[in-house]
Amino acid sequence: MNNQRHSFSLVSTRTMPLNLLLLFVSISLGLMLGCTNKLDRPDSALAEQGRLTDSSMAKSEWNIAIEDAWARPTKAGMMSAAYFTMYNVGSVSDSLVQASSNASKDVQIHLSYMNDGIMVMEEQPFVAIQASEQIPFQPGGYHIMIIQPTMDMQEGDSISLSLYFKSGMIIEETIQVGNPAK
Amino acid sequence: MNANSTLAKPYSFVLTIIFLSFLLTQSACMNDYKVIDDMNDASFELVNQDSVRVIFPEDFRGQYVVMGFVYTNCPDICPLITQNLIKIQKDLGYPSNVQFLGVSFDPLRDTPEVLHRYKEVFKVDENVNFLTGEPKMVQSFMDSVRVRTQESMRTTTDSGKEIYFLNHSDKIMVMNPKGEIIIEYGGSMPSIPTLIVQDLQSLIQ
Ligand SMILES: [Cu+2]
Repeated sequence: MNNQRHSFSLVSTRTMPLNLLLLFVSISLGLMLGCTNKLDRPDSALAEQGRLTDSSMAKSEWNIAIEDAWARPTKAGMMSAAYFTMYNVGSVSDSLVQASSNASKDVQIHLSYMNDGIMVMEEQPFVAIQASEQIPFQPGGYHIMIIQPTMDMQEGDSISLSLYFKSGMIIEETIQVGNPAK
Repeated sequence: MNANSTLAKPYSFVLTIIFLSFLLTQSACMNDYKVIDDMNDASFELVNQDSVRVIFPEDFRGQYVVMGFVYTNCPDICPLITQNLIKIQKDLGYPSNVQFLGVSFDPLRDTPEVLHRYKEVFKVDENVNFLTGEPKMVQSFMDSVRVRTQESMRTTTDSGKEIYFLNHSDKIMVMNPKGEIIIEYGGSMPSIPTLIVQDLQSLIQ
């Protein structure tokens, strides 16, 4: 009985030499620190973004912003997508539930992912973001799908992008066409 | 004696050996280029973005062909595949003895005119051809290179348009001058151009 229970514990501290124990403790500490330090950007850079629509909500609690936003160049009637990194530097979680743009009436939240060797692209009813979380919207993953834009979108142009959250908050931005990282 | 240290040593030794042999077999496989598919069993009549007839693989015999599989209503993954094709061509120095193809698996919507516009949007070099064709012909071509597609659910957008997308294999392949497919990689990953350029340079030299 005792043996069976023992086999479930990966590391027995009783039989482990001190140096191994120290190594184990320092590695787990490092892992814990690495995990909690999710945001590598200062809060100040992201403050002031995000418009309050519900005055009952304190601004210090809700603080979601996007950075490095861009949209893929395309021609009218074809397809485009918008990308950014979404940061939640506030203390409350929320969900992105809708998006809109002046480039098209049809804008959807999408996710591309590999399923059984097939690349799938699917509309998402929402994307949840926890406090202190950052979610990349990038090629091959989450993206804002801009369906058949009514105008040509050329490198250097800009379009509007509005992101609507479950809480009622809205992020409104003007984003550039063309990948700045390229 | 404690159980951890006596167990750990032989165990990690065995793991290291397994890992090293895995690396060795991997690198060995990379160099011998087994034939994945022989394309000579059939011939496919397709058209390029300028409506010029293309017979595959006959028209490309004697040349290496790098081909990716896309559809233009795809704004996310397929642009990555297209940009990888562009990067491979650029990194190889726009070779005249290597052909580059983007083959559409959505012939109903991807007419030559649409493919022409797609090339303009992505500023694709004129020596890259985008191919489409009769739906049945395209389907049997995709079957022969084992590129799978499936229609996603049709939805009606906010403005009342009926749209659908295609789920699809994500691939870039290399065909040798004998019409045999010898290299097949994931198409959209950022590491792919470097791998294919290395492979092609070792093959062509
Ligand atoms: Cu999409």
